[in-house]
Amino acid sequence: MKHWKKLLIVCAAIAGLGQLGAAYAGNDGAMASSADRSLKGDQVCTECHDENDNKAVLAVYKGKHGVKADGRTPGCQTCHGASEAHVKNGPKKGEVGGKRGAVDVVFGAKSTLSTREQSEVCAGCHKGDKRTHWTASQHDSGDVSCVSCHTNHTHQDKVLKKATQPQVCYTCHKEQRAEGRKMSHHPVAEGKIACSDCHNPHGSAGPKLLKKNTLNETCFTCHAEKRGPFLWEHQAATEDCSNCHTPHGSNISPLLKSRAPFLCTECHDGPHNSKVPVAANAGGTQAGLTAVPSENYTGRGCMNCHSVIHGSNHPAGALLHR
Amino acid sequence: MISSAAVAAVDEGAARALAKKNDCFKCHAVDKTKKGPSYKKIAIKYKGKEAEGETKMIKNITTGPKVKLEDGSEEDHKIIDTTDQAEIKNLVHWILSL
Repeated sequence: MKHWKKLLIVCAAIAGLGQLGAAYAGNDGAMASSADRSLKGDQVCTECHDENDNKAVLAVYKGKHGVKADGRTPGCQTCHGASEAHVKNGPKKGEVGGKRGAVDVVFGAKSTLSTREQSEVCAGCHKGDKRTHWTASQHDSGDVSCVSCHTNHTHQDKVLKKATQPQVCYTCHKEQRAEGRKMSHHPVAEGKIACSDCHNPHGSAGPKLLKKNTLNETCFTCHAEKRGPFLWEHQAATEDCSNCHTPHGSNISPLLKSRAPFLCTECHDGPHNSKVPVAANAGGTQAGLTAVPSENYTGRGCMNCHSVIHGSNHPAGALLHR
Repeated sequence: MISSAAVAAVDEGAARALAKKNDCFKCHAVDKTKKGPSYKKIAIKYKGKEAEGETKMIKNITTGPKVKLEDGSEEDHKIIDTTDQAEIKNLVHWILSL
């Protein structure tokens, strides 16, 4: 009896494996047919635009747009249109160095389409998610199209790789490139973070195309220890990190806009040996000040003593000493 | 009469560059049939008749007559965008040397 049970289990397992194999083969077949369909369409183009072409058009197959096993992957005509005028119109008789008519959809500087029309071709597939706020975003309004930053006929789109992305952004954002060379900077040049770690170039609900809704929210994604909540807050830090810091680079570490005590005295302009070190320049009130501070410390580096400048959770940390 | 020495002394780089600049490789390839015959096929066709081949090819690329494509259809041949005879001859000799 036991042997019969074992035999039944083995038979069921074999049948199951068989079904799995059939399902896999079916799936494979569907992939193959979608790949064949796409490549057949592409053949109209690759017949002429082969490995000898002036532009390395075939390199599109090395990138994500060339993954033919994925049924959603476009063919040449998906982006460039059927382009019959280009396919059928050969050189005109007697024309020296004659060129074929242009394809229906040309991307880039030579295009007759507006940047928005060019981007709409890409948005046909790449919509929603990070691109929800594209329309009327700074880049959209500034006549930047998808191909201004992205390259498709290549094995690796520069802008999608952390180490090479800044080169693409710096093509326009030259000031940020210069700032990134200063002594204190985010490790962009070192390839550890990229512009898109803080910014969403496709549009955002926050300022300066920041990924989050506010500057602080964006900074806190990495600098979480500065988020709080604190028992004793530093109002300037809670409000806006850029009150004291500049994001792209500074010669005053750590990314400070000015050097202490000058940076601090922009708000704390009362005398140090008074009970009102926060004068008219700063809002709010100074809490926890029980003794008159010594004037000996006037003009020194403020953070020598006020070391937990972003906020303190120490019961006696009102002056952000600890 | 074109000598085999002349064919041998071609500047391949310059010939390829001229062909590329004029999109010749859109319809021809060195060793595979595209819309037009491969250059190797042309070289074989005119082996021993290089002078005839040279005349025919120069006519094709400078006057743009109707030519028969590999699929049987006809199209005007593209006229090369150069008037430098030495450059044209170098290209033709390179094709014949293949």
